[in-house]
Amino acid sequence: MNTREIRTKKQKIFIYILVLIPFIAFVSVMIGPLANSVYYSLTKWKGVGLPKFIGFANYIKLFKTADFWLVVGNTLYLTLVCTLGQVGIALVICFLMTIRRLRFKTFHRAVIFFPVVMAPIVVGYVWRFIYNGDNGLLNAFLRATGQSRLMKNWLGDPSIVLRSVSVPVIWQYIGLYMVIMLSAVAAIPEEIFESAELDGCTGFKKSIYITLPMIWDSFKICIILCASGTMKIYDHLVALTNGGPGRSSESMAMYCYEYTFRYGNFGMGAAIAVAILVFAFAIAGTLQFVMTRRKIYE
Amino acid sequence: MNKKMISGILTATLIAGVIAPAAVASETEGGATSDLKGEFSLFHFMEEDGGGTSKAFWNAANKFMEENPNVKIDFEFTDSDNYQEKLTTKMAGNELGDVWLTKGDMLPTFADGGLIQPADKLIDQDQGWRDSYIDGAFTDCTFDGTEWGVPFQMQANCIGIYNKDIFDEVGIDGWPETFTELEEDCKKLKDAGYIPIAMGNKDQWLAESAVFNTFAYRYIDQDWFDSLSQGKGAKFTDDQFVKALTDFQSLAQYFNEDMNAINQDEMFSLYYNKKAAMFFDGAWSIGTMIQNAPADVLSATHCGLMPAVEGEPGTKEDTASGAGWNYVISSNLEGDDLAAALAFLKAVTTGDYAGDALNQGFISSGKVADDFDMSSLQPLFAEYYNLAKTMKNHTIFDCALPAEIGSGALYADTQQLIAGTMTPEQMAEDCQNVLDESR
Repeated sequence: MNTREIRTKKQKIFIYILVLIPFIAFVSVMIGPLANSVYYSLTKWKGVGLPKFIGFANYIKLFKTADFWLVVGNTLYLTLVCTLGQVGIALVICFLMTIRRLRFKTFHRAVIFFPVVMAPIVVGYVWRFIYNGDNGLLNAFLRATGQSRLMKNWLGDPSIVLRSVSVPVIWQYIGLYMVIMLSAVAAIPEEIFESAELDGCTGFKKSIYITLPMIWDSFKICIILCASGTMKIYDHLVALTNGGPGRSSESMAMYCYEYTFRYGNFGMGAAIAVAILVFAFAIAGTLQFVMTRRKIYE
Repeated sequence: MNKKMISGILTATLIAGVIAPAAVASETEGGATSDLKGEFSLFHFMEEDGGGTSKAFWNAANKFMEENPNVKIDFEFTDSDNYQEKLTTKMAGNELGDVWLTKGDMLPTFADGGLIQPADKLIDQDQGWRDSYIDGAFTDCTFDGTEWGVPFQMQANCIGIYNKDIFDEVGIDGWPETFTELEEDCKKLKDAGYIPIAMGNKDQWLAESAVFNTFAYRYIDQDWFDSLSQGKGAKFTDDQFVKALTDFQSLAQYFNEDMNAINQDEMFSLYYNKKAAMFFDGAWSIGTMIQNAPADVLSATHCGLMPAVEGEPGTKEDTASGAGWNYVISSNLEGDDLAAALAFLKAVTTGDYAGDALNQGFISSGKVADDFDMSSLQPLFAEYYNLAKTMKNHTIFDCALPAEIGSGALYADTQQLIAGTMTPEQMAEDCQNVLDESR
């Protein structure tokens, strides 16, 4: 690397000032509100008057509420399914893109990336029309192909609704992770692939033993980004089901919003927000720990 | 010079000629209020180019502003879907204005927090104003014995809408009077391939607030609800309420299969496309039918009351209805500004507003002038208007109960109840638990 050395004190001060500006911005827009949320989570506050400090009462009540664990379960399920779906399919597509004989790669990449630029709420509404039990594209297709027995009430049946809502989420973000991993693939020296192919390492073997280890860091980032992103899932669910039937497809973010703005219970809303943060940290930390231990290119 | 003088005199005469009659007219038409001055802000959800309540509001508001040029009103609009959330946020940020709209379930928070002033004392200062409201108009804005808000509408939260052509086609002789008749009619409609009752409950409120709430009043009465909401003995787990849930769950077999996946507008589409023979919804759907239903569907559309249930104390006239939303006045508003706000609220809730409301397809909380021409009303609305006169009004659950239960557990659990994933007993128990915790 070609870096200039920092020699004088003035240079050091200048560098620190440059670092300090974004640091202050980060603290004021992220850490400050976060600390504020933690404080509110320990209070009883309906939005009027001064918050009343009640210790961990909100958390105790929250952990005793069955609905909370239901939405935690929903969120974790969606996180698992969406991470496997989004990053898994993106990885497969990424492998396919390394095939030399594949034509129109740019076209494929653009088409697969296209849903990423759409607003999640729009994706939700588009898929709601696809899933419509009466006039929906999916049921119409099944009816037209003589598969009427497979027709379902996709968004109204609590036993399948989580699977139904995960499909649009997976579909939308495959392109994002594909692009991240493709950029990592592009950085792999061509000689490595050539020498591997000369040694007879092609197709599936090349993907697993050459491509994957070489993009492992990007793959890891994709997994962590995807898992922590899905923990915050909100827009898709509002458009698709509004969390229903009942709370069958409600996420933690929706639950937090509901308590805060529909019920005006800011203390409990803050407690749910803190719980989301803890879960997101736990998942990201676990993934980081597991994936860092397994350095498959060593 | 002379020419200039003559020209000046003529111009002055001309201006005086234009201004003087206008000033006289202003005094004549505006009466005593033309001298009114003051300034206040209003947070609301009345769309300027909307229909129904919005149109009647703006007709009255614009007239008021013309007649009272010295009153400055800072209108702050948010669409009705996001209004509650925005209101809660403004409350938390201590940014509530001078006058705003709120539902009954928020009144305890505003009143206990000292954010609003009682409206009854202010209205009582003007006996004419007090007398211009219909009976029961203030039920939804009463908390702890005090009327805190000014109502502007009196809507039935449940009315049955049906296509008479479809009823005739399958041999149904008129709107059912009893639950048994309703079930028999639904069977006939289902056998004929129609969706008997359209339901669009994706947003969770429709099944509970606009259908079940009124259905429940066949089993329970106002005293039971008052006892429940005030914690004086009645519980959701009482046999009568569980029975209401059980029968409602049985009625759900006649709803469209995707009842929890489609919303109110999609439910209307099922009706417009003649796939569904009837639906239950709030009285606001009358205006929507008049505005949007295809001509042949509209001409065959009629309305009826939720049928009574044999052996149960409630009658078909027992209906969950009320003002729902009310204008409340900040406790900080006083002097000329308060006087201006009160005059404005009087103008947008009573007087000409009441008659205009009927023309816009809804019933206001104000009394209609005796000389109002009822023959000008659209036939479907006139039919509803006559039905509404027979209704016995009862409290709307989600306007009176704490939000955690009113628009929380009751909404979500009703969705599960009609989907068959929750039993009536489970729902009753869950609702009671949430209600107990919210106290």
